Amino acid sequence: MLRLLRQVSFRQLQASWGRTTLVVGGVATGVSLIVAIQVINASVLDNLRRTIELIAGPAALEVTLGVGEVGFSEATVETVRADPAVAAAVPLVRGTISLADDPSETLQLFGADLTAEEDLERYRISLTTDRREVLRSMDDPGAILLAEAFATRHALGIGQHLKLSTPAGVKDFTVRGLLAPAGVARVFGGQLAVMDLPAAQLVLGTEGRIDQVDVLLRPEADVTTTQRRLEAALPSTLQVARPEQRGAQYETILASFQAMLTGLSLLCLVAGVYIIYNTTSTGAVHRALVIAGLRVTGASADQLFRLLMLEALVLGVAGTGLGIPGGIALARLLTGLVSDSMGVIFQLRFPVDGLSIEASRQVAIAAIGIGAALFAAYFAARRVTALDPLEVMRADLRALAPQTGTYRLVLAWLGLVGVSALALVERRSRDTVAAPVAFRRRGSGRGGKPLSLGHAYGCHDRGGRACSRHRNHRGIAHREFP
Amino acid sequence: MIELRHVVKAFGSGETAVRAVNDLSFVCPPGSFWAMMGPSGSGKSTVLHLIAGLTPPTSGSVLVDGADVAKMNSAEAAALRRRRIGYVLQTFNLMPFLTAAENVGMPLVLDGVKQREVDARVKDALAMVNMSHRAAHYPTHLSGGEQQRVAIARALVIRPAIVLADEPTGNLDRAGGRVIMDLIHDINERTGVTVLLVTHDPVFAAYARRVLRLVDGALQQDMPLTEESPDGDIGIAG
Repeated sequence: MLRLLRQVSFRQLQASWGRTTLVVGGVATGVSLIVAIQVINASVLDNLRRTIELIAGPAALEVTLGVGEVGFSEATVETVRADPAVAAAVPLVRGTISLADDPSETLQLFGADLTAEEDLERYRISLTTDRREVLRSMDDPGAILLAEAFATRHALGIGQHLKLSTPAGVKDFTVRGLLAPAGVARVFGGQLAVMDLPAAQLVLGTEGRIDQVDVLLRPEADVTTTQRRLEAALPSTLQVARPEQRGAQYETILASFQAMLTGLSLLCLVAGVYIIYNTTSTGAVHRALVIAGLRVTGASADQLFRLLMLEALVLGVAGTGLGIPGGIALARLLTGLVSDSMGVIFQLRFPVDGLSIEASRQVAIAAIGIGAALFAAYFAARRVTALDPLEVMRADLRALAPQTGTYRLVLAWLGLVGVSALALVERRSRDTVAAPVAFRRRGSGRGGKPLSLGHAYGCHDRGGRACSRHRNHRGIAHREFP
Repeated sequence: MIELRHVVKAFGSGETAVRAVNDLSFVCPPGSFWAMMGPSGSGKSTVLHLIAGLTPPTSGSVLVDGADVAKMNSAEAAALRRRRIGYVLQTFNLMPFLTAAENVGMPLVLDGVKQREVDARVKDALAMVNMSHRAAHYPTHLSGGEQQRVAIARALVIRPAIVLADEPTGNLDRAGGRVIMDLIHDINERTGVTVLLVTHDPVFAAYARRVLRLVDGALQQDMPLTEESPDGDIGIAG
């Protein structure tokens, strides 16, 4: 069979290179899209888990108001601290602010209780200057800590001033310290600012309210028991969960988006299967003559069916071999964009530092690609080997067979792939190194253009009035009341 | 030896069924050179298909060297074609992506013959049809007559007992056709291979020693020829 593959199939595949290219290209395109989507999904999830882990630090439990940024009463902290198993309860507010003169440059603002110096260490926010002096200076409501990367990009040093757009309006701030690119600062890719809690609440317009309480337990405490006790003690609107549970919540939210991407990749594979089926079927006109000739010269139908399937296997392996590295390359180009899209849609903004490539998944996808090639070839192979060879040869199939269609199809396929690749490369070249937080294009720092956003989210004000939160074309959030 | 016993081959079913071969019987001894003539649709080619095991009869028996082809499965029939029957077609049926030598050797490759032996037998077969000098050429670089000679070499390479030639001159001009018929006749004379030729052309049918005339799948005339008639007339013995 291998001899026939070498002497008949390979020679014919070589002779009809256009059809061969389409089949291999069809498999490669389908496989590369599945690989890309799988790698992107896995990378986004892995980075999400890492982000949540870094933000949570050593906290055993978190008290939140579900997923959202509405906030809840600061008095909750005292209720949590009253629990005998709780060693510390650290309130936290979070929000998004931006440079007043460049609204596209946004920052994740963390308001933490800096009076306890260890809070910073717990959250792995390290300072590059004298830590104690910095913390003392944070009493000033205009004091702010900036990530080194952000400060460097905007030529800001310690003691220098900057104007920031906040929900409370444009305000002056003084840089009191820099955050090393580690821990949370690294997670947010440098788009991070830290303030003392009361100052941050003022800036974000959430006086008396917090977004989260991180709970550290005493060494002997049982996490589950404490969790149940806190749930009983706190209002039912609040959630008490382990950080990893919160991650699971986000994963559930992301699952629908990722399922859509996976579905799209499978659709691409279906398209690939269709291309293979179509090319093998239309090629069957040419093929039928050769197959009929082989039948007449002594090949059995089963022998030829096996040969055609072996040939499909080789083409499937070749297509998969091209598709997997192609998919990984595609994932490198697209992961940032997908992550940003998720950020916009789900209000989950986190960077994707590296790709998560699992060998076992790639093997499974390779099996899917090869299986798809075999599946697509099966029907054409069955049909062409079942034809009466003499009927095939009687009909003037050579005259009926299209002579130029395949060439044009190959050019069209190459053109589509090329245009898509160029568009991605061009898009990638305009992206910044890392701007995971912002509602803007990744890349180019100051020159980054804002994404056009028209999303609105439901919300409530502190008095419980319904409102909607919007972001304008520059990504600046504001609330609107009916 | 080829023997057909009350062979019927029907296509379709019910009222629309068409009998391409209708109760046909004959015995073709080894070494014969017979021709089958008849109008289009008279069942000539179908008889060759039946003998080659490419299609089973609806009823009756088709015996090749005593073995009933109708009872063979697909693999056994394929083996019969690989080892006992050389088939020559009007359309030559050469693979355009293989050289003349590779085309000739294909039945041996299909049969798993070692490459060294394939090469030797291909060389002999091409020499037999005077095509050794074109062994490395692709079919598209050969004339129609040369392509048919390569096709005949492919039929001969297996050292067949029977050569079934279905309109081998159909795509050639008269001169080219004569060259091919001379070749087939010469091979029959030299090797003793049984030749069953299907043709429309009485000139080429005249090369045969017996002519069967089919009409509507049935034998209308069985004409033993006394001698070859170069002017195309068929001389009937007795």
